[in-house]
Amino acid sequence: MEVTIKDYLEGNTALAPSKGYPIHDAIKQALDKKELVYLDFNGMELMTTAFLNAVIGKLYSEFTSEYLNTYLKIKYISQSDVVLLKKVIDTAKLYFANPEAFENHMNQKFNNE
Amino acid sequence: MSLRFIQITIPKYVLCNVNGYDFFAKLAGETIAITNLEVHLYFAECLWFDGTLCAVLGNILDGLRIRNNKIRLFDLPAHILTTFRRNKFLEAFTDLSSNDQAPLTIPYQKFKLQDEDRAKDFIKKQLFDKPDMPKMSDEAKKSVLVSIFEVCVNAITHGKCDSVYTCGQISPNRIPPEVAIAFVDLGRTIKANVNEYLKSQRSGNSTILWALDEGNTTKTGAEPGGLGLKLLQNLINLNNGSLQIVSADGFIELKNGIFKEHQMIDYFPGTIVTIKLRLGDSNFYVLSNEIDTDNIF
Repeated sequence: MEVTIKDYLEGNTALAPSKGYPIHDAIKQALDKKELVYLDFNGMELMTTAFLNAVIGKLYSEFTSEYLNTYLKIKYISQSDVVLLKKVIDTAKLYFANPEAFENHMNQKFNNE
Repeated sequence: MSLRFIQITIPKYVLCNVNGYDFFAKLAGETIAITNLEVHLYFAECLWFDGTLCAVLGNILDGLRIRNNKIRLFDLPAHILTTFRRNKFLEAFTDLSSNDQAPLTIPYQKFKLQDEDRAKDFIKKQLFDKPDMPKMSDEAKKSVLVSIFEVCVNAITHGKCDSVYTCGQISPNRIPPEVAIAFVDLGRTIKANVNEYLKSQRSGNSTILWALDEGNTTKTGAEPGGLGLKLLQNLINLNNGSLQIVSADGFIELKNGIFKEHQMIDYFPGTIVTIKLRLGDSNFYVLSNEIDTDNIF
């Protein structure tokens, strides 16, 4: 199955998380059925981490890293966007490994500074 | 029958510093409940008004207008009149319009959440399509735009407000050339959001510093976050620019990689983010190693 981000938007800009939820839901639906999903970034000009968190970060609360690597494939993403995406993925992995511990760690780190 | 009026005197200097932000905090606080009045702003004593701060004044005045007040500006000195005309602030609040090309401004503008493409095209055009602008690569331009919009999205989603106001000033003749741009919302403050989330009673400065830390977010539920402001910080540090965040009684400034805490007297009922960036291509972004998308998750 192919999920083309641009098809869910009115233009080529994706800033707010709310724009990402329908895309996340479409991916999740297919992944629930063990369908192979190609997430296509073709034509996207500008995306924020807030949007990417809503589309992809959230998937880490529902699927494992191994499962996502098997069933979710990325297409036509620019080098600068893949850097953003990697940051989102790394944060999501840390967060969902243990959300409570992550938050405690962040608070403790902050209080010690 | 004429409306009753209140008179507001604009101070001598309205700059992007603690006095300037305190003035807006006081103004916003004192006028927040005003309805059905004429609001008279007197500029006779004002010697300098930073153009970027039209975003803050505009947000406050627009709120007053929505609450059925009438805005009138008096005694504008010639140079401030020119600034307000060029950055289109004047035509937003008076009947005066201007055909000035405004090559050195990012005009006063209000954006709503659904205006994503318009906002992107506006900032891109106003920031990069100016005469005398230094050449920048597309990747450098994109990294600036992404960081700017991370701030806007933050303001709208966390501030739970429906609009963000912006205004900017470009200085192409400075060495190096620079742009200053402010984003303002009169939504929930960072202090209120963070303290509610942490169930704490931290100061304004402490909550802003918390929000600036990577991975920290007040978003709840199955969605991580907290990267946007970190990205902006990275850009500011690489670029040797500066970042100011004012929210509630907090005012934090990032410059030369160091956070400075300022003490506000008054309480700003929203958030102001002022970014200063050096223009030109060097140090705008760091190319990372190629990332393999085959095994990215």
